[in-house]
Amino acid sequence: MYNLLRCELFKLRKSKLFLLILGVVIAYSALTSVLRYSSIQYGGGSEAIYGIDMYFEQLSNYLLIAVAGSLIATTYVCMDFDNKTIQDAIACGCSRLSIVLSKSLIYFFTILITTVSISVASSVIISMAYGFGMEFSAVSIFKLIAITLTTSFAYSACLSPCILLSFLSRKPVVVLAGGIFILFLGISFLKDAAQMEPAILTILSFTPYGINDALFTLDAATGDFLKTIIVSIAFMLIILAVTHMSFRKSEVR
Amino acid sequence: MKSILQTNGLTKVYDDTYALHEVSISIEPGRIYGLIGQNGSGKTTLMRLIAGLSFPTSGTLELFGYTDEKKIHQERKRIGCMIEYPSFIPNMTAKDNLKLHRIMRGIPNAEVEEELLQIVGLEDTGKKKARDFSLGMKQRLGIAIALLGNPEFLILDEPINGLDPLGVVEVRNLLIKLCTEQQKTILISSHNLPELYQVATDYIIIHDGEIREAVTLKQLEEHCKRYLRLECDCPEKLAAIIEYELHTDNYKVMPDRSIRLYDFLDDKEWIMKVFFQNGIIVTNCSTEGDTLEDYFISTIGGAERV
Repeated sequence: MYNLLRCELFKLRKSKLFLLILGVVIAYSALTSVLRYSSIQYGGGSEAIYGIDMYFEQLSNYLLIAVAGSLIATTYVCMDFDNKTIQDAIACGCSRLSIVLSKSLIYFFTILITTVSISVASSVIISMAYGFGMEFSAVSIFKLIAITLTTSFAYSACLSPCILLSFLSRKPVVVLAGGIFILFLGISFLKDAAQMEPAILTILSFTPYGINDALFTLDAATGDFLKTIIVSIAFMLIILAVTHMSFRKSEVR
Repeated sequence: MKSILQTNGLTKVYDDTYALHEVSISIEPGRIYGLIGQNGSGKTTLMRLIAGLSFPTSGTLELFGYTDEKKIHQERKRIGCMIEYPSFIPNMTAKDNLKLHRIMRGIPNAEVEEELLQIVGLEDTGKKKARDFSLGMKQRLGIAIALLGNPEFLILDEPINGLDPLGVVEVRNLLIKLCTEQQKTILISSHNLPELYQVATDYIIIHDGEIREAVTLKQLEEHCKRYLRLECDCPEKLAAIIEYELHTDNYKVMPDRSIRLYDFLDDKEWIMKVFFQNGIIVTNCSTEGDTLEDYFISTIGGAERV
């Protein structure tokens, strides 16, 4: 397991595709922040999106994370089936569970890097636009870091089905479609439906798809963080268990 | 010494089709086994079952003396594999690919990367990415990866595919060296029968998922040896002339009273003259015997099946 983790980190370090995805995400995040600021300066845009709200707006861009996360899963897991790295790991005696776990942990790590990159990019734009005149207490800064990390945790849970899809289908197009269409459009649809049907809202609140909205404010309470973390861990564990069950006895071509 | 690998009635069924049917083989240590079969005969399926990439429908597999699934899995650390095509990351160099697989196997010694690159002749590839390698170079990289960790048992699926003639000779010599000097056991599949003939010490012929024959090199040579079939009224006298006049004992008297002479295949006229001078009238003198291909074809069931 330790060797596999080291191996995955080495691969990540050498992956130009991951750097490219990260670069595009940072550029997109910075560009939309600049455009948002410009539109406010010229009297457009919502008054509500101002200062720190811009930060939360970037952080809550689930579509961006869904696209980036699906692409990373595609390049990171599906490609490993194509270039036979996973087959080689099995043939040299690595257990299938350790393969699933090491892949998942490093995948979640890439989601953390992506989320943090978005927050850093938007923080830089905000500080350049509004200056450092914005007053933040130490508690607020600590809270912002906690929100970013917890959000990254929730996003990892939200995107964990990409791992399942990658091990099940091993086809990039299925993972991309699953990540973007099901995880983004499907969940957006369910959230809209929840406005009319409270039962759906209740169900969503027990998944990482419905809980992290409460985090995108400096008023977020400790309970919100705890709930997000607990629900995310439970969801990830379920998905990883299903992934392992499906991969444990599957044929690897 | 116990077998490296033993399979008992190993069967693999895909959608009601037998990819392997009741395969029972035994692989002894320190030998090179050539797995011969047509496309779709079950060679790769057998290798994939040994490597743990696939699971048998029925039958058992014993690896390094263990039959328990968990133990077998652990023992796979003693195997080096290259099945179907080499495992490598295209956008990495040969050295980085070796490093990746070295880390995966938990091998601390980084010097092994350079050593293996030298062994397979890829030491000068520098920063060239594996995706830009020729087919032969990719095969060499695959062999180097399979050799990581000094495995006791090597499984190589068509390792000489795409290699240039010099590369074929190098890989052949490398495999022989690994077997003779390091006592490694090698299971190698190939379509190239003459090439396999120069490497393997044992042969397993597989067809339609069934093992048709498992023979040693000596047995195969017996089958494939070319000879002169001699027929006459008095084979005893002919045998004596062969020994005393031709000075060879490389012959056999067959149950049908014909004689198989394994020497003088290109000197038919001269030996006929010798027989005639010694008062023997040879009624038939024809060159016979299977080539490796003939033998393979007859083993799998005749030319109509090829």
